[in-house]
Amino acid sequence: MIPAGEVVHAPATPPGSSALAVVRVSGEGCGALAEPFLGLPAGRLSGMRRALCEIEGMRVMVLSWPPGRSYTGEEMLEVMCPGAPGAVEAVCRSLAAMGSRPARAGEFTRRALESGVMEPLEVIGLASLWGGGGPGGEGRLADSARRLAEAIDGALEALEASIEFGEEHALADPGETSRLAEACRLAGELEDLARRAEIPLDVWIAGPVNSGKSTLLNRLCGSTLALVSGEPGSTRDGIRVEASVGGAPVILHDTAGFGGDALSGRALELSLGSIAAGDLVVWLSRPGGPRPPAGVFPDGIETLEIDGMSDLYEGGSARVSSVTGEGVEALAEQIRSRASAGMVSGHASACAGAVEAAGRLIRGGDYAAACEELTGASAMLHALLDTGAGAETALERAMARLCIGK
Amino acid sequence: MTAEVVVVGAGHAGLEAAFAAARTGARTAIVTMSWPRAGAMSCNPSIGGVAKGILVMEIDALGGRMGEAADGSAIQSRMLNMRKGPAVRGPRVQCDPDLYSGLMRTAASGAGVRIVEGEAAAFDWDGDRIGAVILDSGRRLPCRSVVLAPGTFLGGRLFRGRERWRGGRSGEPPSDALLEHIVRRGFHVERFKTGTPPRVLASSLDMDGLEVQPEDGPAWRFSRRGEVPGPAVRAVCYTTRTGPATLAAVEAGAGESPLLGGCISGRGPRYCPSFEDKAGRFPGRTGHPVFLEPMGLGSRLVYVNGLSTSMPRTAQVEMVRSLPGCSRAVVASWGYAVEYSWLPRAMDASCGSVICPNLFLAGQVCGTSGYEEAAALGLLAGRNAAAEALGMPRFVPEAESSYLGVMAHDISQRDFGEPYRLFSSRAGNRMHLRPDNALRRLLRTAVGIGLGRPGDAEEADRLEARERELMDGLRRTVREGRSLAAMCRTPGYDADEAARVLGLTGDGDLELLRSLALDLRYEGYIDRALRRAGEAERLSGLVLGIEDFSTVAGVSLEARQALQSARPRTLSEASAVPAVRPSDVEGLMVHVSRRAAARPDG
Repeated sequence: MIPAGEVVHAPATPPGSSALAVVRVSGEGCGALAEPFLGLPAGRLSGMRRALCEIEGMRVMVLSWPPGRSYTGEEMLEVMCPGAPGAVEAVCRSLAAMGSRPARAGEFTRRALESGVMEPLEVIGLASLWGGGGPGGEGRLADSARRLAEAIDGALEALEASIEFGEEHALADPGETSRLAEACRLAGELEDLARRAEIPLDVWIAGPVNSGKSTLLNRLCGSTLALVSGEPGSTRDGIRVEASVGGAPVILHDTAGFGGDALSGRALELSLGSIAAGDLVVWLSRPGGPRPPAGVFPDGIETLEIDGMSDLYEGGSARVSSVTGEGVEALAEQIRSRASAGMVSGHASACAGAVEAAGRLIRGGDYAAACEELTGASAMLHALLDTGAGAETALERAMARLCIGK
Repeated sequence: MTAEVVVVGAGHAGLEAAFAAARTGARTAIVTMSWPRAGAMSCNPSIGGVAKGILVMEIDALGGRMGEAADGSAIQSRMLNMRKGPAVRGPRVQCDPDLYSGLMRTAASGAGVRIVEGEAAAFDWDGDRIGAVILDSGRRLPCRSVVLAPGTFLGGRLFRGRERWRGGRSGEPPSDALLEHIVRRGFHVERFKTGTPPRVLASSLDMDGLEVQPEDGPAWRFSRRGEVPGPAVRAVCYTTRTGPATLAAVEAGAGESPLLGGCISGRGPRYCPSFEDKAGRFPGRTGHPVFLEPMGLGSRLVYVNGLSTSMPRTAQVEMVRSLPGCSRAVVASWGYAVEYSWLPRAMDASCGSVICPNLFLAGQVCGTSGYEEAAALGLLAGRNAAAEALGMPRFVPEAESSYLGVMAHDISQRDFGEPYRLFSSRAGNRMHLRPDNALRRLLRTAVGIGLGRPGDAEEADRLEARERELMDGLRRTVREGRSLAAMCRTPGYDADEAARVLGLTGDGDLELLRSLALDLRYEGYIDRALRRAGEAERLSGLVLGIEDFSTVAGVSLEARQALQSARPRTLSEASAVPAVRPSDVEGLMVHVSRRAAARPDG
């Protein structure tokens, strides 16, 4: 949460030897705060203005943006100075001296989101663009969701009219199927865009050596990707695959087993390399087997404990066998629900489900129930568009990817 | 005998009010200018329709009479929306209007309601309370509470072409003295308008080329109580269409139209408009459906449904004769418009006046249109007028469990720029407000508030016990690893299959089981509606703090425009703005909760 009125600043251009650098300042009253420091008369930086002034004897250009017309939606300044690191540091030092504080990573974007000038889906799209995520950037995700909402609302309106007036005014049946087919197509498009823009759930399969981790990974992605053998410690380097579990995009990591020889200890360390950014550990052991060791996984990462090899062992609770497939579906469902919770793609696929259900209900002669399905989907989409409700995970991940100055 | 409750007006609202007041135990008198015209169907001789038909079933469950009278006078029955879902089916009948009003008047004598013929001209005030109703003859009717249900008579003015005259209905004088009195007393009034189409001689029509409107026959009834059999003879209704010639007739007569010429200031119902309104609103559409409906079994007249108009007589003839099958039609009575006064935002959800503690309002005076809306509010107003007179607590129906509640809340809380008509989409909990469970929803309530008829308490007990037994059977009986209850939730499952498994035979049981199966199938939707209502209730006082409504997402375009001009301060004020639907309120809630999250201190 950002206290209203707090002024923050950060360089918006990469450090280095560019000719020019820009330092951004945002927050209510930042112009009035800066004017005396820059030797400008009061009010000089209100509205959309440009001023040449000096900071520590260095000529800088200051652009001021009024609230509502800036990137963050707040009052903003952009200070253009020479690109040399020393110059940028001097500007930042002066800004700090006048009471501004350095912005945190992604804070400008967060402020834009909270002031309402940027839509949640734009943030996700923007992050994807900055992250090299290719198309699906910026407005496309929001546009696609908006088009889907419009299609659903249009179908809903026609259905309601048909219910209230269809027979009284002898209206032609609205031919909902074509509108719904369009909504279905748009839901697919949104899901596709979202999958490309969103950072998928990062799942790590870990556990004692030879507990069947690689077999489980293969089972979960439905193909043979990891080398499997009966020898303990077959997996040394770790494997990273982008997979679809129950229709939801995830990144699956296979790791070397715990409790092997010295070499496998080193392999384990290596294969756990980027686990700090992980979301979920699936700890695959066996009934009565070792539990996750303390201090190895980062704090806050969720751990699902699974009793594997249920074909060989009795007892245990969350029983899974990669050989017989017992429990694999339930585990996939657990991963899927975590992967789609708080994600735009999850909503898109739920919308597609609702639209399909509505189509079935109409064909079965229940327009009223079809309206309920579509109303639910519409409310979900509007909440998503307006506040990002339901896309919290996707938003957090997108923000986390933004660096200082964005 | 001094009356405790005096009902002013004996239309659909006034009569139900009188029945309800009498049944609640108050000595009741009803004042009307002409008792033989009591219960008249001034416009279309039909009862029911989408949502309205369910409302009639609710009236019936609550001990009202409209359903029985409609059943007893039905000459054509149609279940609308048969293929659009059990929750939105619309039972509708064409009535013989003389039979209908006769049944209502007979019911009044049976209910012990005292009939007083005369014009209510003023109230006798005792502080802010009404002490008596004063007739134009000077006669004084002392009372403890009053139901005001004057319909279109309150300051009624009639229009047709260049003709205009005073009247509550064609051939009957208006109630001007009472209007003047309440306005002097400080009640705020506004004007609305409505209208009626011409009636033509049946013998002048050529029905040969016309399409007969199919009907269901006497397959179902509104009333679960009714002993009165409907007439065995059925009426035949026909459908025809307007064409370019109909529009041409309107254009030719436009100069003399009081509506197009702006002489009528009151707003008319958008959903039951005059033909000249339709012509203006859908300029590209020449073909509007018209239904030819007999005005009763013994009547020589046919009602031209869809051609409501206040055009001059010459234009009306042209319009009627432009319809296929009507080229030689003889107009027997002319269409006209009526403008009348009503009291906006004048009542609370008990139908009680917000400024006079013992005055109750029902029907067009609260801004509604339609016989069914009037009757339902009449029942509520009559019940609560009696409660006021007898010192009992008032009854406020819940919007989540009846259309009556939806209406009472809408009318007490919302502003509307046109006569209020009930729609199924006005209900936030539509999947629960069905025809099949009207009795289960309201019979216990009827008994509890003193509206039950003899035997209703036992019937409510029996229904509830049987419901428990059948529900138990559905939950406990397992076939192929699934309970029957779970199967009932599956789309496409036929509840009669469950009835066979449970060995049910009687019609009553079968109907109840089908209804319970719908409860199960719609459980998720209903739960969601209740959660939404609870949330809206919780947030109703929330300050919106929105300056610019034009950009609020999740709110329909129509609602955004309405909100922008109304600039409501709180969520409940926003819900009151016309054109704001439950789904728009939801959008606003989302918007506001986002603000709350972003600015916890502000």
